[in-house]
Amino acid sequence: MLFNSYVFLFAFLPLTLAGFAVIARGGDHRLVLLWLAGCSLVFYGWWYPGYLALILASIAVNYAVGLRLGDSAERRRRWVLAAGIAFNVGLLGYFKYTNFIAENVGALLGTRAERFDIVLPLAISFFTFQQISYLVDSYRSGAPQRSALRYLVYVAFFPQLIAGPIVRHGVLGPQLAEPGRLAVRRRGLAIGLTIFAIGLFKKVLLADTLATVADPVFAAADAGTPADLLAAWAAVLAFAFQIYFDFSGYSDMAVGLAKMFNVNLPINFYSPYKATSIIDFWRHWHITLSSFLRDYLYIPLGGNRRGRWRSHLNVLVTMLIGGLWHGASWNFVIWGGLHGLYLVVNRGWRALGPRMPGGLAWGLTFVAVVASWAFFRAETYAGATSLLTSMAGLNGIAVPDGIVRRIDGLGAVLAAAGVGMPIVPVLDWLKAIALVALGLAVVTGLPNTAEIVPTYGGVLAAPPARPLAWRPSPGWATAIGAMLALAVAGVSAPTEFIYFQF
Amino acid sequence: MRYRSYLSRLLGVLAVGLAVTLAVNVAVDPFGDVPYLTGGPPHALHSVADYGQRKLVATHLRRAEEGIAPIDLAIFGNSRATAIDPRTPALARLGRRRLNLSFSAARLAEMVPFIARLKRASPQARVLVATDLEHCLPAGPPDLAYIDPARRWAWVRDSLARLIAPRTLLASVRTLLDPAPALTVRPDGFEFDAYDYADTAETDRRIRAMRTINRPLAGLPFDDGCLSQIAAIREAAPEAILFVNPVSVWHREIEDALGLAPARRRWRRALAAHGPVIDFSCARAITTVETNYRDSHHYRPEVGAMIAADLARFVAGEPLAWGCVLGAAAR
Repeated sequence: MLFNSYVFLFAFLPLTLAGFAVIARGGDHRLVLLWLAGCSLVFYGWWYPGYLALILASIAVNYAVGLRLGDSAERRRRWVLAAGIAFNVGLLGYFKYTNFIAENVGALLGTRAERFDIVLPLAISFFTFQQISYLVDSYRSGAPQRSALRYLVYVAFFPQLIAGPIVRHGVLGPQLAEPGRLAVRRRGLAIGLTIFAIGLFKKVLLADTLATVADPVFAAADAGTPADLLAAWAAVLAFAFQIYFDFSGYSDMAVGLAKMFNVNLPINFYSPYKATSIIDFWRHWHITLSSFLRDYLYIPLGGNRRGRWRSHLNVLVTMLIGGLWHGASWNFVIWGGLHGLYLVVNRGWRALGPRMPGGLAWGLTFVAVVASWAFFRAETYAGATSLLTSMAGLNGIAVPDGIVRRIDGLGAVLAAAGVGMPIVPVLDWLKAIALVALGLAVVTGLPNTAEIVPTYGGVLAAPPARPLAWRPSPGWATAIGAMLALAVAGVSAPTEFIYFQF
Repeated sequence: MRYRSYLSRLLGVLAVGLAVTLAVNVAVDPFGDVPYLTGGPPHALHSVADYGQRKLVATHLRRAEEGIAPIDLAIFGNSRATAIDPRTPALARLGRRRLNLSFSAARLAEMVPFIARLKRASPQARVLVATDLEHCLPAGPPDLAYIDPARRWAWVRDSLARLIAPRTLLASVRTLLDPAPALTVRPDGFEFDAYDYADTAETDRRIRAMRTINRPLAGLPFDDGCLSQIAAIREAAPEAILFVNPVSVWHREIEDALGLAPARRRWRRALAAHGPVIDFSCARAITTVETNYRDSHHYRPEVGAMIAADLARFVAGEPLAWGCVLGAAAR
């Protein structure tokens, strides 16, 4: 089920919330958890009920492994943990990477590999990583979750089930165990609805609109038609903002929904496009994934404890795996590898000592991140390199014929400069530029959701934004109500979130 | 402010916003959703040419099926054929209640069930069908859910969703400001200027530009499925008159530049094999006069009137002024 669908907004959410409020008022904590678990499984099974068995099996196995981690002798615990991680990685590998591996083995052997008919289960990447983090934490603490019901809700809690945030058990577990906490509170409802409205607005009105700029150019590049310089930049920038509004919008909705149930989830984005270094970027982009990669991959690989070069290698390996996690495609691996290289260069620069002027540092970081999105979004390697070539100006530059003809003498000047004048709709061209400019203004000029609503109790504390700090005032109620109305009305053709495919 | 008041106001604004959007959209109904949902008469305000969507066609057919408004003559085709005004006096000879049921990007596979429904509802109805080369080029499968009465829920859901959408509100405002627009031209002049060829060099440049903005079509396979659709039209309406829309010579140049000439020859031969077809795309003065076209694809209503006159002549057995009849000789 999609958050941005009428069935969710007008049926699932009101019914779930109403049932939750009634049951919570009765004071039976176990019944509240049962209700949340049941609703979450309905939410998950709505798309394809067949995979309910898969997620339940995964939850059951991980729960059992967690118990074994708590009960086994010290020398056996390591093996139990290894078995648990192998199960999760194997499950993810089978569903997500079987065809990718078969294709590449086939290519190496010079044969045509037959595709296996495997449908990627929704959210498998997220619930697998979440459960790996649970197993490792249980191994380290020696105190796994004993309640099967609480563990089920920890993994399947619907606001965070499909696309994160990837929540540690140490964050969600205690909230689910606290008697009387799970209840509808007016404050939580007001804050949750506000954050949800901001997220839905980002998704429906910003991300989906920006997609209309990016999609045709990427499709053309994948089909072998190169874009000119302006079109390529507009498309890649539009995608950079689209994916930010799409995923941060989803994360806001998840945080807001959880808050309606008086549950605090960690924030996932904190103005990443304001970052002045790649290291800084990864501290603010998909925060729960980057902290997962750091804590459960980079540090176990040795982190920076084994010398500079080994540390760089660890960063590269971590980012390559992080890239591959996003999808079974070499483009994702390249994207991850690029960011790994960026991080190595960034760390090297820091080690050298000189400080870059703030504007230059921001610009360099921003362009590097934007360029890498070409590999993330394009479906083919050729499409991505074609767009990067276009962004470098090697496929020419063009200004719509309709504009050139309206400005006396411009045509001759542009023709002398080798600028093309294609026949493309001027309004579409101007709309693309305006949308990209709007996206840039929003991501760099406005505070993020956590700054606007800092009081929601998320894990990462944020200083309040002035003068845009939210408070329960008539003005804010009107503004958020209007945003919600626009977003709900705009849901008429719900579109999937980009991160659903991962 | 208390959280309770905050929530009340927020939800109140949400409810009012949605209610106002819905009320304006229902009242103006720029896409003709209300008659489809209620079975009422289609709006007089919006012509088929401007809002000739599948839903409106279905609304007309439903009214014919229910005996509310039988149809004597129906024109089917894509956006080009919307330029044929069914009120043209020449068509009066062919029937009293005449409708142009063309809609944008119409496929043959979509027209066939509509034609079959029309003939079931009004067996006496005369059918004119406009076809184009594009009907025999590969395209994605048509969404027949919007045509099959058994799957009407898809249409209802679509109509309800559209009535609450902000983009419909924008269309409502545009409709209120300009209640009976003629064939519209985009404010950026694209429709007028795109193929406004001044000289040969300019033509060459523009054709090259077309090649960069369109996916290359050269080498596209001919979609033989279209031939069975034409046969299905003949089966559903044996007396149907098929005709080929005129295209400007500049459009023909673009087709040639894209390597579509062999496909066109094959298509014409195939059409002729399925019975007489009136071809208005043959080179005549009309197809070379720039002002006869909104763009290279779409002719103007004046040309539509000439087509209508020739179709009426064909039915009356009179010599045609423009069209060429494709028959056995063209095979």
